[in-house]
Amino acid sequence: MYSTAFNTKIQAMRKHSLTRADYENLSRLKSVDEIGRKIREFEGYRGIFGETSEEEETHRMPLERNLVLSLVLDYKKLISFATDYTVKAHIDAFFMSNEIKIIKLIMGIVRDQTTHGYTADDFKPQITGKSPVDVDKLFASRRLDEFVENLRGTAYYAPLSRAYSAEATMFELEAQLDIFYYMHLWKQRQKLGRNERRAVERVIGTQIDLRNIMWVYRFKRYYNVAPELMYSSIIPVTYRVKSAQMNNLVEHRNMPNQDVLSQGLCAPYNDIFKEYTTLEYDYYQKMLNVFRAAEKDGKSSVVRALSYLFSKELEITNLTTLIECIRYSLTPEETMKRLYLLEEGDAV
Amino acid sequence: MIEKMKYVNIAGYVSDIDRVIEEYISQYDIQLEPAYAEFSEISRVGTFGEPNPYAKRFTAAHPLVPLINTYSGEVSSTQKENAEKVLDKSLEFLIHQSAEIKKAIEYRENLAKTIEIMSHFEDVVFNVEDLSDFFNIEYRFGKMPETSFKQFEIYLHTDSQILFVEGEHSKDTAWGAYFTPKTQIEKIDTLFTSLYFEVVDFPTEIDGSPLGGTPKEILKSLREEYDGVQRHIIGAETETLDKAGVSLRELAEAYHFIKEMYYCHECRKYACKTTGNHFIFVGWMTKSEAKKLEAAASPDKDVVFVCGDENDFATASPPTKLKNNALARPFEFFVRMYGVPSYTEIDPTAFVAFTYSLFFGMMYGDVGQGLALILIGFTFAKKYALGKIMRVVGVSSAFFGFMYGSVFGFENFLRPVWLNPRADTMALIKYTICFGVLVLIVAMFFNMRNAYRQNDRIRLYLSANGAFGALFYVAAVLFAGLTLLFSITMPAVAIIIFAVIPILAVAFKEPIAEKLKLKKEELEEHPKEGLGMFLFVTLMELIETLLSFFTNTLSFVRVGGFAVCHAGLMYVVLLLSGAEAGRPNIIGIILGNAFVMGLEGLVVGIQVLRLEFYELFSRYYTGGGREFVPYKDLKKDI
Repeated sequence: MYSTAFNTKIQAMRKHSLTRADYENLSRLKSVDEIGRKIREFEGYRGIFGETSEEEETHRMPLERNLVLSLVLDYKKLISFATDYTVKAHIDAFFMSNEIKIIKLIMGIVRDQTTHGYTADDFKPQITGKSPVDVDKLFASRRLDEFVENLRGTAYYAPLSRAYSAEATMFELEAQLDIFYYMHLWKQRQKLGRNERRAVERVIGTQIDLRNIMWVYRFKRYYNVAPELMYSSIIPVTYRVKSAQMNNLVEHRNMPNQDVLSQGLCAPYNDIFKEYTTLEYDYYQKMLNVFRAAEKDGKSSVVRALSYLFSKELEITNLTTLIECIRYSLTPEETMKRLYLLEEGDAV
Repeated sequence: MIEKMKYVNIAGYVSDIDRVIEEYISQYDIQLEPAYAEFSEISRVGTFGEPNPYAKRFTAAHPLVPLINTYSGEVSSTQKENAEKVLDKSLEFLIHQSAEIKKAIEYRENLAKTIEIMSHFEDVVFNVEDLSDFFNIEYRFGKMPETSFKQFEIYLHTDSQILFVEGEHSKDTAWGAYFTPKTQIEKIDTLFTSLYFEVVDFPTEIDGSPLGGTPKEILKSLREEYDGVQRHIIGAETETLDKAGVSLRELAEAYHFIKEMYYCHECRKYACKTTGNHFIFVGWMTKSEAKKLEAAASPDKDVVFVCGDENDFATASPPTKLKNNALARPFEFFVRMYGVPSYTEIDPTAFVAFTYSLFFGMMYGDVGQGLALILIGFTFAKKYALGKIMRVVGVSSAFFGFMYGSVFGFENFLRPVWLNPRADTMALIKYTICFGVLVLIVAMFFNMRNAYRQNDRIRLYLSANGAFGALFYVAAVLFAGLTLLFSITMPAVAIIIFAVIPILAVAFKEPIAEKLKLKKEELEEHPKEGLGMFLFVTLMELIETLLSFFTNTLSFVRVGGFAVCHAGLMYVVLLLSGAEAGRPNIIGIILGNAFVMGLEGLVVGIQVLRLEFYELFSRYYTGGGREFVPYKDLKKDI
């Protein structure tokens, strides 16, 4: 009974998601102001425009910042409606990604010694986790070691302090945060029943597999990292990619060549990297499909909730891209190409 | 009961801080809070950042600790100059001048280090001397984080160039060693370094003499050796100390003084410094301790002691200190298991103690087994918290044994004072439900009191466990009881006034609260919904509330059920052991009783805990407090 009410709630929230037609309409608009006004009309974003006056919104930062707030708001809604403990735990674990994103952002600010126009208050509404992350303190850190030390007492301290050294790159630190995140998320499923666990494994497992493949690919293509240095950045979870395959992928010499991705090296996922528009595009396509499929055949409240959060986050990414495109006056067709939308009629 | 807390400030001159810490903060139970956070927004304050001046001597004296620990007499306080002098002199004589002792201590440290490293590989079976036989193989011993080990295990365990031997796994660390061909070592080293593998020097010799055998054998002999060396050092040290004219007592006093001062100084990190060269400590004390401290500090002209109300502290709520009588105190174990009550909540311990004992006894009433429980409880009371609880519930169990007339399952020795569970099952179950109803109503009253104290008016009046919820519950139980037992039908008006209106008030608490402006400002804004969604959610919640009233009430059937179950199980035991037929098999009876005690003691204990945690706590208790930990106790763990 509880899950029925919860699922109905998600269904109701999902009704407000933007459709392809909505994006098309938006992409034809000419100015950021118009977009702001239009977004304000969407049911899913109404809650965030409560107090700000219109002049404030025209400035770029607040509009995009506000969009992210709607994700936080939705997360809170889901949490307040979920009565089951395991469902709550999953939503919390999944949404930790948002907080980690903020921590990475501040870490970048500390490293670059410039605020990029942010203030500490910008991040505060987005700290939703249970561990007491003190944004003011983090923001005021002068060096990375101080930054790591200021995280003491939070869940993020252990993975960061382990990896931190004077030579550690941002990349390594971020990787440790990601590994911590995915391991934590992956652990949650143990409390679920058999069927629900399968459904959750399907989406989270796929996400982890894809993330590992993409990272190895990027390592090779953009950073030219030696194979033996890569293992510390791979999540120690295998779902459908076997460990031996992962080894092949890491040790493979021609990896930067995109064909390699379709040569059978990452077997269960060969088809998705075949099209290869961009890596991210394929990733989002696959994830949307997997979420949709897992939702369809399982009755898992957890998957529904995670799926909602995932697509909402993607929606906000899309809107941000869209605003950017309008700002640089791209044509509607070009704009639409840059959005991550589920292609219709995709088989999974 | 939760002890009343006082928020205290202790201020004085910076030059006087050590004395204040020593005389007041280390002597009385006070939980310190960081003063800097409390005052930094009000005025310009600083912290005490200077290094600890006692740190050097404290660490230098570390090798002497085994010697000092042999002193078992009283330690009285001493003067700072004196302590430093004694300690310096002892160190001079024992370590700097005596080459023999110095060497022995070095050897001891060396042994300790070797043992420490080797012990992580205690269960690995190999001959340590074989390590020197490798020519084309390189090896590294060390440790890495558990996460890295998982990465290695999943992706690299099958790598033909690496042989990894697992050592001990402690909390977050995996110990182990990797072996690889010499030609590959650079690559493999890089790999392991990137996995945060920390290399340690695995000991193959000690002081020039090679170690032989498996780690287990080596450890055994090393530990014996260590004990011998230890004895030798202490003997030699005692002798030298005598020659130097320092008594062990003096050394112990000096060391304890320095240690005390070291920790006193550590305490400064809680204080803040004002511009006028004053320091301030802030913290929590129980009312009685605060009074004592006030009396002690008021004649002291250099110290200002301000005792404020519990609401004066800005940055944190008061900690909770539970205070219960000897009978209820064991049950704090269960309460802590769920969560320490917050300062403004009722301490449920006494209620838990009463209801837990009552229900346990009712479910498991047997004079003989109750007494046995008391005995077992006394045996384990020192070591396990559950032992103390067993003593109390054993009494209740024995009491209900008399009520049911049951001794070790025999029902023919005693006449039941109250009833026989197997004969009067229905009556027993009716009684237990009545008890359950009473307890639930009490729980709702507790909830109202908690809500009142926390000034949460929605919870007080409109929640399912608030005034209207309780009114509905009492009315519903009463009406149902009258109808079922006495066939008296209530007039519709009474039902509407006492049952329908209250439950509707609970169901529509949101809009009602909004109308009456009961809502606190900071409450999170409820997402705006359409009317249909609102009604749907309300209806669901209403059904859930009603259902939980119903199921929670019926849940108490288990109390009667287990009493019957006990009688039934014991009947089977007696039947099987032949007691029923008149030829009792003593061993059978004893084994049967032991089996039933183990089984029922466990099951009943868990079932009652479930009643406490689920049926009752969920109605009135949140348990979000933090426990009172005085600085005095904190110091012991540093």
